Amino acid sequence: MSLPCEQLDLLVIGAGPAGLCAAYEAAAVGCRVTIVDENDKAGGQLSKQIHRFFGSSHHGAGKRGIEIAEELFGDCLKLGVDVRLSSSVLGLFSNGEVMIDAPTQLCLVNPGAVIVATGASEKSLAFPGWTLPGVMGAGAAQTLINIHRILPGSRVLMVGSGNVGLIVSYQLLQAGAEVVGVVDTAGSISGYQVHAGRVRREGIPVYLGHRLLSARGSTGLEEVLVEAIEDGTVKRFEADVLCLAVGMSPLCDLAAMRDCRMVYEDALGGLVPWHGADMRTSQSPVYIAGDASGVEEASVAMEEGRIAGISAAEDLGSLNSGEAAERRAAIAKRLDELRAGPHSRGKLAAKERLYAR
Amino acid sequence: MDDVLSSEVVIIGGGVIGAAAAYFLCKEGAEVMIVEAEDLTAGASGACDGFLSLQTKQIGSHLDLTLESMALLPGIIEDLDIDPEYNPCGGLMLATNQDQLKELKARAKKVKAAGLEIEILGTQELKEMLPEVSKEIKGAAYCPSDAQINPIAFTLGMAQKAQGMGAKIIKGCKVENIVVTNNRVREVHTTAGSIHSRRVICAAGTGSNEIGKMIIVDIPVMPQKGQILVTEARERMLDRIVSGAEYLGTKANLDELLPKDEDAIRLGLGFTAEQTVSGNILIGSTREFAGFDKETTPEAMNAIAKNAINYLPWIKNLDVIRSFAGLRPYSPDGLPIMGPVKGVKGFYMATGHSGDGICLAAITGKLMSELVLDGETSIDISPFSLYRFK
Amino acid sequence: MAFNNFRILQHPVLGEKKNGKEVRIFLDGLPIHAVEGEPIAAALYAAGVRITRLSPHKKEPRGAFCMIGRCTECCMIVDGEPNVRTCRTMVRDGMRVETPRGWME
Repeated sequence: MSLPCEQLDLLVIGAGPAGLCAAYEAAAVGCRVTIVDENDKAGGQLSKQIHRFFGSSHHGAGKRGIEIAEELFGDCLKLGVDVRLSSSVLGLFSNGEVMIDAPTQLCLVNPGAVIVATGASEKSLAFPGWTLPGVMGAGAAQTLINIHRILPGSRVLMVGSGNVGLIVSYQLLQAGAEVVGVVDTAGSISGYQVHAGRVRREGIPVYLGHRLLSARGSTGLEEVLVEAIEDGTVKRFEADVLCLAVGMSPLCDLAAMRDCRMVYEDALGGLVPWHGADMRTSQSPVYIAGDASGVEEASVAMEEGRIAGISAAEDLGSLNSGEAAERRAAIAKRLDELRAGPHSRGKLAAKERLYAR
Repeated sequence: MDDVLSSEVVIIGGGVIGAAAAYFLCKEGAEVMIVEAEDLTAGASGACDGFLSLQTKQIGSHLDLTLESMALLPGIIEDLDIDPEYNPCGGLMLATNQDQLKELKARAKKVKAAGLEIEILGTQELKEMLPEVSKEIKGAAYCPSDAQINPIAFTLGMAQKAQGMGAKIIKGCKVENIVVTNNRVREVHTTAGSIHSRRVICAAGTGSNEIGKMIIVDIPVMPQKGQILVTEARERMLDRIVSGAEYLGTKANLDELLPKDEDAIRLGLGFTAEQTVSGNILIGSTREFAGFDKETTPEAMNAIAKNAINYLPWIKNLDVIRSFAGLRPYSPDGLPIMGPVKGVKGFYMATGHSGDGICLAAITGKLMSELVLDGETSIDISPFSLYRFK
Repeated sequence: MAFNNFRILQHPVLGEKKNGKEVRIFLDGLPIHAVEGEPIAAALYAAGVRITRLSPHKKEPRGAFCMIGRCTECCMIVDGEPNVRTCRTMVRDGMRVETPRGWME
C-alpha cells in the first residue's frame, strides 16, 4: 500500500450535534480526538435550526440550534480537538483503516476507536412529477433560507405535518415565502402542539387525510394536485416549491461497510447498526450516535453522542469502567426524560427492542 | 408446518444460471420453483461487470460452449420485458509489450481456427478504434463478437419472464438439507419449509460446495474474489469492452501473460474496463482467494486504479464513486461443472462458471432444461462433468 | 436577472443580511451575480434558476433536492469538470457553470 497511514486515538466522523458532543466528552477525559466532517463548517443540521429548543437546560433549552452548534464547536476547540473540515470519509475497512478524502489529498488513518455520527438524509416520495425542479426536501429548503438566506421560490406547499414540516413551514413564512398549505395523509397533526399552533396562528391551512396525486410543470414545478382520501375530492395548488417532510433515513453506510450488524427498525428510519445503550456496535471499536443510530431529535443526538464519547474513552483507557458507567447512567436518565413524551413512544420502543437484540 | 410445497423442478440459486434454467424449463412447460437464500442477483451475478468476452475463453469445449451461448442471446433478449442493455460492441485486448503482442498473435491463430473471428491490431489501427489509448500500448487483439450486457437486468429479465410462465421464486429461503431416498432426490428442506421435488438443479454458485455436502458429493467450487471500481457517469467514452493481456493471463493462468509485478500476481490483477448504458465505467479487477469475504480493500483499489491508468491515461480524470467485490464460483480448471451426479438421481449441477456465468448462462439454461426433461443434451457436456477432476 | 429577487435581506430572527463579497459566475455563458461563500446551487436559486441539469436519457429537467450533497440531482459541469455537486461547491469569481443536457442517444 503506497499511502502512508496516520495513527490516531479517537476518530469521530461527523461534526453535528452527536459528533461534537462525543468529541467533547472524550477529549474532556484526556483522549486525543480527531473529528472529520465533509462540510466546510461544523454544526451539522444544528446550523440551520433557528428556532429555540425546549426541554431542560442540559439540552440547550431556550437556545437556537445555530447557537448550540457554535458553543459545542468552541468547547471542542478549547479542549484541543483536531477538527478536519471539508473531509469526506470514503471507507472504513476491517483492518481498522479509514480512508479520508481531505481537501488536498487522499489519506489513510488508523484510529484506536471510531464514532460514526454521520446523521441522516431526507426521504422522498415517488409520485408523478417528483423529479421536477422545485420539488425538494423540507430540510433542503431550510438550508437555503436559514444558512444561505435564499428563498427556493415564492409559493410553497408542504407535505408532512411532523415537526420538520411544521417548523420549516413557519420558517419559510418568516423568510418571506407564502406557504399555501400543509398536507398529510394522517388524520391528525403528528408534530408538537407548539409548532402546530404557530402554523395555525399564521393561517396556514393544514389538509389532513389528503394525499399527493401529482406535481406538474414544464421546466419546473407549477402546480400540485392533492386528493382527499375519504371522498376523492381533488384540490389544485399553484406552487413553485413542493417541500417533502416525510421522514429521514439514517446515514449509516460506513458502519454497514465495517460489517456492523444491521437491524431494521421502521420507527428509527430504516436500517440502523445494532447498538447497546452504551452506543457500542457489534464491531469493536466502532460506536454509533445520533441520527445515524436511528432518527430522533437533535437533543437526543447530543446525549447519545456523549455516551458514545464516554464508551470510546473507556475502551481507549482514558476512563475506568466504574466512572464510565456512572457517567453513562446520568446521561441515560436525561435521555429517558427526552424520550418520555407521547411523540417518542414508537422510537423509545424501537430503541429498547434494539438494545435487547 | 405450512402447506407442503411441491414442484416438478427445484432450482437452488437465484443468480443468472438459476434464472436462465428457470426460463428455459418454463418455455418447455415445466413446473419450476427457484429457492434463493438471499435475493435475486445477491451473489456473483449482481457483483460483476457486463463483459461478454469470447476471446478470453479457453480454446476447445469452453469456447464452443460460449459460441453456442452467444448465439442464443439475441433470441432471449428479444423475448424479455426488461431491457438488459445488450450491446454487441466488440472487445479489445491490449498488449503492453512486444512479448504479450506476440502471444496474442499466436493465440489469435488458434482462436480463429476454432471458429471465432479475431484480428490483431497494430498501434495505428488501435488508435483508430481507441483514440485515447496509452502510447505504451503495443497493439491489441480485437474480437468483434465480444459484447456487453447489464448482468442484473439480464438475470431479473429472465426470472421475471419465467415467473410470467408460472415459475415460483422464493427469496430469503435457505436450503438446509436435501432428502435422498432409494438413490433419488425426494425433498428439499428449506427455511421456508419442505418442498417435494424429484428434480433439483444446483445453481448455487459459490454456495454449491455447501449444497453438495447435503448429498455427500464434493463439488469443488470455491469463492474467488474480484474487486471493481465504479466511476462517475459520463458521456460515451468507451465504445468497446477493453481488457489487458494480463487479464487473460491471470484468468486462464497463462504464464506468458501473467503480470510481472509480485503484488499484481498476488492480487490476480488484470485490467478490464467497460462503460455501462448509464455512463459509469466499471474498472476491474482482481482474482483473490479470501474465503467468503466480500470487502473491498484499499490495496486492491489502489492497484486497480493505477493499472487502469497504464492502459487508458484519461481514466485518472474520472471520479471513482463506488467500489464493490464479488465472489466468482471458481472451479479448479475454470470450466463450469454441469450434469448429473452419480448415485443421486434427479440432482443436476449447473455451477462453477468461474466468472463466465453471464456469458454461459443462456446455453447452461438450455442444457439444463434438456437434461432435466429429456435426460440428454443437444451438445456433449462430458467435458464439464464433475468427474473430470477425479 | 434581478440580483436580489430571492435573497432574504431582512429576517426576523437572523436580522439583516451581512453583505458578502459579490462575485460573478457564468451559467451557460450568461453572467449571474453571486456572493462569496455560498454554493453554486444557492446562487442559482437566488437568480431564480431551478434547473440544474437535464436527465441523461429522457432529458427531463432536474433540480436540487437535498442540498447536503447526497442526492446528486444538482450535478453540473463546473469549469469543464462534469458531475460537480453544486450544492457543495462554493462560487468563485469567473466560474463557468454549464447545464448538462443529457448525453444518451
